[in-house]
Amino acid sequence: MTQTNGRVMVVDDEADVRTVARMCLEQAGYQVIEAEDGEQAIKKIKEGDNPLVLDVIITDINMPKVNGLEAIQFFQQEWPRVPLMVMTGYPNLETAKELLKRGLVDYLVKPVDKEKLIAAVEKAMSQRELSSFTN
Amino acid sequence: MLNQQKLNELILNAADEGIFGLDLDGKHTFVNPAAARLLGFEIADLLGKPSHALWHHTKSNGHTYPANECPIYGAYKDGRVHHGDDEVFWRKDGTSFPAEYSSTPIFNEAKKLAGAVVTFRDISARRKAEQTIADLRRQNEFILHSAGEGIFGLDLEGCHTFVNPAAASMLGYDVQELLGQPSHTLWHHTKENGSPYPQEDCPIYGAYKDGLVHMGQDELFWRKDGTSFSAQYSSTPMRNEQGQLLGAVVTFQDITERKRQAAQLLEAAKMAEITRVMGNAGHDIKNMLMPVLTGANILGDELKELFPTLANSATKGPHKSEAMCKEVIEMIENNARRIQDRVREIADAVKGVTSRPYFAASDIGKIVEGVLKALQVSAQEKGVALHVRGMKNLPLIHVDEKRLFTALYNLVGNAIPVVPQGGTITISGSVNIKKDTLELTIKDTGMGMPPEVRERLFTDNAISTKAGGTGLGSKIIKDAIDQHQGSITVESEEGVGTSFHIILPMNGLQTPKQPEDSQSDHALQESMVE
Repeated sequence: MTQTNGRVMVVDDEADVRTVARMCLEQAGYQVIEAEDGEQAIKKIKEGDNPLVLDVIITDINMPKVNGLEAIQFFQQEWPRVPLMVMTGYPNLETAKELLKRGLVDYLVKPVDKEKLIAAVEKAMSQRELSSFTN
Repeated sequence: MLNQQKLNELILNAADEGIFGLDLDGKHTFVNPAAARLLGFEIADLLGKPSHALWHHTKSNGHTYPANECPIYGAYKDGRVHHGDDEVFWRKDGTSFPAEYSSTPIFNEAKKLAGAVVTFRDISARRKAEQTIADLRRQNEFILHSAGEGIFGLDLEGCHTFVNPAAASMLGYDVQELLGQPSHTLWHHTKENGSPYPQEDCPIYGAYKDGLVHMGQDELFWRKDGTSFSAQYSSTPMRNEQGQLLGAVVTFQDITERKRQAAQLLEAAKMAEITRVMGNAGHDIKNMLMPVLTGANILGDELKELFPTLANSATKGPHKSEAMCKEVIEMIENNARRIQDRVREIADAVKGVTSRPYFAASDIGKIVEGVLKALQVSAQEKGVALHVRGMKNLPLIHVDEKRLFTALYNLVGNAIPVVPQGGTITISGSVNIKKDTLELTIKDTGMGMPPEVRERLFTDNAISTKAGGTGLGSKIIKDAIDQHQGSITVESEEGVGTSFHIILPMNGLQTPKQPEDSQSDHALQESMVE
């Protein structure tokens, strides 16, 4: 198995967005798991013989089925150490404030270019390392 | 067989009316039982006693009633019949009742006046009924007068039989001017489209043609001065006790204001819908731009790696191909960013129109700092330096931070593309204590504006110097400054640069204190405009 910089999950209902996010991150040496919505994301992490170990989760907010906010709550309960960030096309200052208060590492507004996406993931990774250090 | 006298006596006794005989001194010569009963006397109490002093001595107003003024006495003084129906007769117990009476002179065989016969009845019940009717009439009149609706009575010819003051005043007439005049030709003659309104088609007239209630939801009524208003009315047939049609009662209201409010609500609803659709479309576009923009980034990086490996094997010049790919990718990236900018401008313009301003004590220096931070990357790419001056010591003033941020972001953001490489954009701030204003100057070393652009700046007809620009930025800025009761002016010299001067009223200095949470809000807003 090839060495990766980390494993990132991208949750977004738009296939093209997931695809470009995956490509960007793969070019930067990350392994990417895609999910269409919160429900699929939770399923993918929990199911299978080896529950997935993730380094970063990037999620949209407005999605069918389990929306991003519900998913975030679930992720935070189940995997409190995995850094979370939102990537949305419908920014809302109040939601952003609330989420950052709740410990999200970033709130990205679409369109996010490659440079910015990678920078955000790198920042999340460093936070993760920091928190594993202190624990 | 009864003799005449006996018969007369029977009649007198049976009569329901009180009947007296009076002699020339006004003393009772006979009294029938009804008269005694009505006055509360025994017949014996009355016979031979003066009538006026016993039961006619005082007027209804409490004043003494002199006998020589009494019409009953008049009958045997002037020999004529006298009537009265507005006087009171007094009972033995000191109470009184309103009476109607007639006093008829009696002559003896020698045709000389011998006295008078007085017949009378208690008319309390009638008076009471009359009073009730009068009260009802007053009440009805009061209702008609005080009603806010216009109320007309019309006869079968359509002429006004009564008009309440509201009706007259809405139509610009005096009540008297309308009474007896035909209604339709006076104030209902023409339709909204200007065509004549035939009387036969008028629902008001319909009411006394078919005896049904007719309504008009929205028709024009014409005033005396030739202007008109929209009215809602109902025309109700009026019948007499036999059910014959007498005419109609028309009630109406001026619905101009109601229509205006309804139109306003509709306008607001349309506006909300447009805002919603534009907002959604904007967000969708931003979502769709992500694959375009990021896809171009990825492609660029892939090709960067790919081309060097082709350098040796390719037959066609890979350099030429590489240059072209690079150009196309840059083009896609640039245009994606421009679409993004435009969508943001539209969203800002919509927000400026629809959202409520929120004013709070704010540090202008912090807002400017935020704007410059958000624009730093694009300024660096363009090789333009952003400077601030005099921002540190500005007092807190009441502003809507979001709007001011948006205005300054647009102002500086629009300047960056027109400043040549190596140029500067400087934002300086100062306080004018005398005028109680805070002044900001945004000065660039750009190419300046031609006069026609400068003159139309900050108007609805603003034109953009950017290719494909909508001039929306200028509107966003102007709207935001207007909402602060401020002003913005521009000086520009072609080839030298442009200076914008923004003057914001301070409305008294605020104590320099850090507004809560502002730091994190700015940081967020900076990241979210992108």
